[in-house]
Amino acid sequence: MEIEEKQESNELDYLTLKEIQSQMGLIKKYVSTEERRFLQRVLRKFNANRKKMNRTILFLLTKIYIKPEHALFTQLGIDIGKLLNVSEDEKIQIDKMIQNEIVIQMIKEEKSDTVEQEIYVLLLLLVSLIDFALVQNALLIAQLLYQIVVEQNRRTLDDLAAKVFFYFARVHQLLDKDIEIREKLFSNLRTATIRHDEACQAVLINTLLHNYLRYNLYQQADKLVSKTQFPENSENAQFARYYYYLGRIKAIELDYSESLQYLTQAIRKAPQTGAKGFRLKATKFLCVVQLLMGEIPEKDLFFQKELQHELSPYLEITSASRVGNLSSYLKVIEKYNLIFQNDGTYSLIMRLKHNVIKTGLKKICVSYSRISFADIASKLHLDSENDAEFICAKAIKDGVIDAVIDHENGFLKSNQKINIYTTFIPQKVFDQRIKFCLEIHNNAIKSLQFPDELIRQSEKTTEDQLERAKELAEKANESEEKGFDEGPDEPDHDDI
Amino acid sequence: MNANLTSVSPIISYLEEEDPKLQTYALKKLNELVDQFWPEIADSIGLIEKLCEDQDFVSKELASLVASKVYYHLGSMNEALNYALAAGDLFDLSNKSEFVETIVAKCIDEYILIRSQTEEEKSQEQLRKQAELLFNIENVISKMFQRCFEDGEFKQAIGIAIESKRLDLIKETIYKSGNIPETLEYCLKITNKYVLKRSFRQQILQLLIEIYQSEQKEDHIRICELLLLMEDTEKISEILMNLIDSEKEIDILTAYQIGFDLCENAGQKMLSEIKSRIPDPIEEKQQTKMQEEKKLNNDNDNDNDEKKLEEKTEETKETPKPNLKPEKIKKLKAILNQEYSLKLLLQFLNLNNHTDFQILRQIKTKMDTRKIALRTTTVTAHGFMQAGTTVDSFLRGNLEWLRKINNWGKFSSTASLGVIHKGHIAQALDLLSPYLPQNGRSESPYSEAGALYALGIINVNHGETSTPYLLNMLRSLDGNEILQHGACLGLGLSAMGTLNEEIYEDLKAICYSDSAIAGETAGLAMGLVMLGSASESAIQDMLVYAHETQHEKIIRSLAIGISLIMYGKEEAADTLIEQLLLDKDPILRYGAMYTIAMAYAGTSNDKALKRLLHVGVSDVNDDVRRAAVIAIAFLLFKEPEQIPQTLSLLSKSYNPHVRFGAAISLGIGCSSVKSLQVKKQAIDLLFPLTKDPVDFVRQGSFLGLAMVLMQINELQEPRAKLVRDMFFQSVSDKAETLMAKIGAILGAGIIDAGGRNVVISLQTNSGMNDITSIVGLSIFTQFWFWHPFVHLLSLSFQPTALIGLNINLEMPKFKVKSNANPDLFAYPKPLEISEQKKDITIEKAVLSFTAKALKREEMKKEKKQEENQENQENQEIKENQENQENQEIKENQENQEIQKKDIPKKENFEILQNPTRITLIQRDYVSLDIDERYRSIKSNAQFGVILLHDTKPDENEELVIVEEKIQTESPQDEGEEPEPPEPFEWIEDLN
Repeated sequence: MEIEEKQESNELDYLTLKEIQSQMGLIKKYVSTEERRFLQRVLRKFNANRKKMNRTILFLLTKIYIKPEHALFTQLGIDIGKLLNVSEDEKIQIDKMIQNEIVIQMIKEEKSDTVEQEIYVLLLLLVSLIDFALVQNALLIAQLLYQIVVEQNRRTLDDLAAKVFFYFARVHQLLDKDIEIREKLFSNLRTATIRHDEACQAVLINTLLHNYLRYNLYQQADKLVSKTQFPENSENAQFARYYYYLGRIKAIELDYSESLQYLTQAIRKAPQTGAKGFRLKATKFLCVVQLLMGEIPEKDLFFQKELQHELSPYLEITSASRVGNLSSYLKVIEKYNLIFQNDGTYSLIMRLKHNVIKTGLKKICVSYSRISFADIASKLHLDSENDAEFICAKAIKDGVIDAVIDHENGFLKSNQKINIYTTFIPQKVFDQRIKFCLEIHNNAIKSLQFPDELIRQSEKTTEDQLERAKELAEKANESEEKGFDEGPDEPDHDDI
Repeated sequence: MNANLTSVSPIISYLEEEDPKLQTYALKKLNELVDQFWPEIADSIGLIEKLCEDQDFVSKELASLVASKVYYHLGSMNEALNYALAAGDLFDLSNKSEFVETIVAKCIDEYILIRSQTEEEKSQEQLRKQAELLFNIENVISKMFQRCFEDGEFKQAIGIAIESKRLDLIKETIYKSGNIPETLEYCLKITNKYVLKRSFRQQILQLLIEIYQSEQKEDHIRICELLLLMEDTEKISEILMNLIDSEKEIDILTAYQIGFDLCENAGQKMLSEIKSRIPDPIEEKQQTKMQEEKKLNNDNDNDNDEKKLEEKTEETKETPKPNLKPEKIKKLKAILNQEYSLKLLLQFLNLNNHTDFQILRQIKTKMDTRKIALRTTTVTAHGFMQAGTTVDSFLRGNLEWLRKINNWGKFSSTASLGVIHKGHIAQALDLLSPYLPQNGRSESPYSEAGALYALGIINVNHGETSTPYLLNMLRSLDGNEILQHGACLGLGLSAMGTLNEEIYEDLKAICYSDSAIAGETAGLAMGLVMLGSASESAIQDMLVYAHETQHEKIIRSLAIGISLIMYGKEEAADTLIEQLLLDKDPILRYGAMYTIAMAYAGTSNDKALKRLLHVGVSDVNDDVRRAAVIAIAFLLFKEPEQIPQTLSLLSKSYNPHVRFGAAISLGIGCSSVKSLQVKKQAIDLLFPLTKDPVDFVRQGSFLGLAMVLMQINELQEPRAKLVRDMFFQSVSDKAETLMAKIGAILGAGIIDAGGRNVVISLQTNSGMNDITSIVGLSIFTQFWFWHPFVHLLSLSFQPTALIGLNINLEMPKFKVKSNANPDLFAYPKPLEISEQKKDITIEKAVLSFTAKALKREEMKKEKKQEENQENQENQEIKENQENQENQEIKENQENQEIQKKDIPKKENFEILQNPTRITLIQRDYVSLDIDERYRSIKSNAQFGVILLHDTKPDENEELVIVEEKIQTESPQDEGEEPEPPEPFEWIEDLN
């Protein structure tokens, strides 16, 4: 039984090897033709490959594509076996596989003659090391990759370089060393900007923002955003991330409506399945920001299939502020204190207190045409009548409630409710919705691009057309997962 | 410290302090940290700028540096540059950081921009501002040059110097580079390619000539090329005289080489100027003249003459040196007279004639005999095939068949004689005498006019003898329009570019007589005579008359004439072009297009190209649009890679005229391309047009394809065969229109032009504009309106010959190696007539579906078998032919060493004998250095006529034996393959 299983896994390994071999062919084709679609096809498979990796395959891959005597390894004195922490059992298996014809043939035939292929294999090695929790070893590879990428000035390297930068930052973050690399990232960003290397630009801006936000340097992050231009033709994944960071920055700066806009965009640009970590985080912030704006999030938000469990604290806080119940609000905060702090939403939630009070006050105003401050204080769990009066005064000034304070008699008298349709409010809301729709429309049009003249020409032969059709189908299937390597903040959701 | 720092706001706050020490401290810190904290510092950039402008502040340069870095990070390079310049020495150029590199690049761009603006474009205020900036920038620039010199990057330095128009720096760079000749070469190359302003280019060339001359080992050939560009005949003749005076053999060879190059590159006016500047040898003056006269008169005695010459040279060899000189000068003069070059090329074309008469016979039998136009066209095509070979046996053999051609067809047919004998100056009058008008008696004005036209073609650009004859003729015609038509054309061609006022006035008079027929060529001839002169009075005359006259033909002729006058004038023609473009009359706008083509020929000027493209898609008149598209080829022929790209969209235009223009343009531009890749791109574009629904587009595509496929055999481009077949198909296809058929017949002529030894080329072997060729092609494209102009295509035929000469201007046996499979550049195989076709009898039609289905099956099987058989047969035939060809080659090489070696057939190299055909693509494979004895004295361009230096003068020289009398019969018909005996009438009966 066990042997059979092993046999099966061996078979699978061979399949994976074959698959990667064909992808390497595509990379080679990309380097020679400089047609980006070939590389994009390979990169789209990156996450799928990542899941299939095990020590055996990685060992063989490096054996095939990066010869042990290669300068890369001798330079750093890295031994792959040690690096991967290969156990005895696995060693036997590897030895067995090396004897296999397919592998022998591959070792003979395949030669990595382009840097791109090497980088791709090393990237696979790097992410697998992260997956195997061998972060220290991953750091070695990451530094090696970083060095290769920075030294080369090849345009065919751009997309791979972007990935390298991302994982380079990621490894450092896992080791809590990300302050050290900030300067490096800055210089890389400058280089990328000068070379119009948009892929790297996008990734680097995002990593820098992440870096700042991790240390709560919101002001710095905001300045960086205001001084840089995010490349317009970036991937959706990078845009989603960028909007997410923008949303967070704006939320801290009290610009809630902007923040809300960015966060909804981020969620919209994120893949609909997978990338759970990212969606979760973004949804949490969205929820809080919406509450801060005095709006109540739709209930659907909390009942999304995968996110339901993690969102339950936020559901509770929402219901507390919806009713304006200060005591339950405080209870919830107390209960989920740690979770909120972990999520980074704690400070925002603390701001909610005013909103809760205001909502309560609003409700009181609607229900009572006249009410004493003592009653208000008891209803809202306020300390004193005076407090209640001050809060009411503030609320009136802010336009939350439409009422008059009778100080001498100590009560609040609410005015007659006016017809909302006589005001500009519906118009404003309508305008907001139209803007939203128009933006979706514009984005949709932008993504409808005509194929390049070059591509059209190369499609002359039917073979090419078939290939292209296949590619399109593939793209449609996989666009969902495309480009989302892992949640921006979630070490727990690495595998997404 | 940096790692833990999260904000620089404390440091920034120091800037607001009063104490300069604190401020300096802050700036120092910021300078270190700016790379990471620029987003933060950017908010306080105002503070730093204030410090920069504060004159009393001690470290304002440091402040500038910080400001520059911040702006650099922000991506506003202009400010970054300004502050970097203000930072003075702190902006360290030796530092190779990205910041410095980027700013320096920006700085150079800015400098070039400022330098290239003319004074008028700048306002006063700008000037003041720039003066300041310029001072700083120049500092940086000079430092950059210093660095270039240190790093040995002289090419970069030259590039920047040329772009920023700094002649002094160009000079300095050339002198400082270790390898002066190479740097000079590079500089010349990029000057010709990238400097668009003519005046500035002349300045650089002048400078280069100076440098070349100051060199110890002067490169005379190069200097003369440059002087030719400057049109400085005085200096050229000086150099020639100096060289001739020298005692060294090499110098004399160089003088001869320059002579041959001049023949190729210079117009006749310049040549005669140079000639007149070389003094005649005094003692022998009389004798020389006599001899020359003799030569002209007794053409038949040429052999004797030649022998005498040879004897003489042998004699002179022994006599002391001073006596040698007159002989040499005489030779040089003869070279400049073009006697040698024309004779050599004629010999070459005649000897290597590979015309396949089968093709013409096929066309003749296949075409619709009722259409006289097709006969005329066939004669024209024959003219192209035999252009310059002097073989007119086809015409002589088919007089009966030709008799039906009448009127202007006769004119055209007679003119085609001129094409066949092109360059055969010595015998021109003799040859044409039966057709030329005699003493005013005019029997057939059409053929007589044609003969005058033919005379012009033969003597094009060297009309010393024919011009006076034609002028006299023109004056004695008293009003016969048809004869005037021919005479004007002939005169214009033969007096091309002479700027002869007398001829011009005569032509003007004819033009003013307002006869449409005579005027159609008179205006053109006026332009030809004043070619490239930019004469304002002539342009004024012509423009005024063009507005006055009612005849479209005359207007068109004048418009083209005007364009010729502006030949090569570049920007100087711009005002005229503007004026013509704004004219209401579409014919004058048409002329404007040609003026652009002529004025900017070969310059690839961006502005001109933009204008052409704009007109090509926007003008309301089809003719103008067509002309604009055709003109693109004239502009871009030196950068042919661009042509297919530029025309790819136009060739798919909805407008058939634009498509036609694109087809012709592709043909003209891509005929003499060295890269097979570009040719293939052109063919890719042309091929779909052969199926175009509009007949004249098909015609254009046939012509274009034929031009592109000249000297290309099947092995290089498989579609060559397809195209040849297509021509036949189109001729025999009943449904095909006359227009397309004419295109196909002409195409068949063009593709095999000049006995398969020429290509259409707008530039000479040394890469200069070939005036005759450009003019010829531009008038050729007028065949749209007047078919006899088609003959002028032959002016652009350039023999792809390699002819080596020794010091006595004889052809020694000299070997050249072509490092490619001999088949790759072989002549296409002669056409086979498949005998089977004749036996096909038409079966009776049986109407039955089942029978038909059965038959179909059978047919399929049979077909397969047949195909197999055919393939086999074909192969056999091919092999036979190859054997035959091999035999022929061997025969040609009789008495030679090579024969002993007996080259195996599939070798990947080939030894070629002087003189030989080397196709343009083949050039890259050819090496001239395998011969131990002879060395070419030209180092780079190795084609055309080259002079050889004999390294072993003591040994006996073996010469190539050339029969002096040029054959007028086809050489191919002799030997093993006798001419088919059947008379042509018989063939006609059969079909």
